[in-house]
Amino acid sequence: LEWLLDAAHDIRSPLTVISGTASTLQTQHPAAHDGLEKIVHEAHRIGWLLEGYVARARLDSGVPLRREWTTAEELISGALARVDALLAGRRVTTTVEANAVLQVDVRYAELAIGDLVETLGRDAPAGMSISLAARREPTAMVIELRRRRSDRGDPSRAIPAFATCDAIVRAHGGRLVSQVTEGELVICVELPDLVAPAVPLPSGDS
Amino acid sequence: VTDSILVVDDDRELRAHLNAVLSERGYRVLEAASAAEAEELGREEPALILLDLGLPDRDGMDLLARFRTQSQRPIIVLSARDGDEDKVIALDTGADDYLTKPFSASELLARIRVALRHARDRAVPDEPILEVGPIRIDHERHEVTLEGQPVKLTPIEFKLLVQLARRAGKVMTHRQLLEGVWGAGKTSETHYLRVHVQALRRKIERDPSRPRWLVTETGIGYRLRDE
Repeated sequence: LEWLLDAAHDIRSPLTVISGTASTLQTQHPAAHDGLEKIVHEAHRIGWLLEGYVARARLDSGVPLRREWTTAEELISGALARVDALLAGRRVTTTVEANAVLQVDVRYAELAIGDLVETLGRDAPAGMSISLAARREPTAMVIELRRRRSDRGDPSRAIPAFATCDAIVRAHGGRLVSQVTEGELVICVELPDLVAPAVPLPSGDS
Repeated sequence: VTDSILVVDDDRELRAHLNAVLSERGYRVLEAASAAEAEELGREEPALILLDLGLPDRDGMDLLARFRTQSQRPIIVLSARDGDEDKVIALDTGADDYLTKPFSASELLARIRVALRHARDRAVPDEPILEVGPIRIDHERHEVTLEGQPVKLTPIEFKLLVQLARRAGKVMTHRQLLEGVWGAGKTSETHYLRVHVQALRRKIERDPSRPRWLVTETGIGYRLRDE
């Protein structure tokens, strides 16, 4: 773990220089815009991948979760904000049950949802959208992602790997269920439902 | 007058990159590779300090505390460390904002603009009317409008929005917001904050699950964007 943390720390400064320099050159050399855009995008993706590796290594090393109560809406908005730059314009539509709360380590849970969205987005042709829904079921909070299949091959090979998400969901006592139908990929995160604390609701301020 | 910025980071290439970005925007740049050099150059009274927390000769947090005892000039922390704890400590002990590496030049410049603007406004008494993007807050009349339309907020939502709007563009930690809205006894009750932020977003955001203005800074707090 120490080795990986040191490596991640040392890589972040050069990444800032690489993406920053490429961004600056984009404005000076419009003809090379697309290539430079790719450099910025991939540098961003390396940063994102590093976060995933560090999270998995921490969990493997037994670093305890820092669980907090949060709302499903907050969790999903945070996750989407983190991968927004990696989606290259692919749309994500969200349906989040009002007042759904869950107890998670927010930093990891955002990475888990972000991992699903980013992976589904990366495999998708430009313009294809991903739908994301969060709802409470009797014993679990379910976060479900759906995307049309972009391949026509063997359904068993259509499900990408979600190593970061899987490790984080398991650490929370939940499970990741992937299904592939004729035309759609469906990925479900199921997190055990826990009793939420009493929070004075906004309407009851007084 | 040209604002000068002190860049404190032991990575030579990163300093050169930041120097190029900032010089192009008209800032005068001072570079320090260590805490000792930073203290020396700090005497030139830069308008703002960009401070990396991982310095070779001393913990950047100590240097932050020392700079803060000397002046109120804005300090933006640059962090390549994993985890949020050091950023929260830095913000709660006086840093104005933070950037996590890797960050873009546009993010950096936006943070600098906001920090310098707040530093200039510090001398001005609080305005009774606050305007942030499409949100207008009449503090004395307890009225809020969004794109000209009245928005009905609960007293806690109003206090929360005012706290954020007074520091528009800057991050506010959970502790700062909890203390500002509920008082010193509730600083660890972040779920209070999350529930009320969600309610506030439903009133001021077009799509609360993709907020445009009131954004989450994961593990740290919230920021009311102003540009």
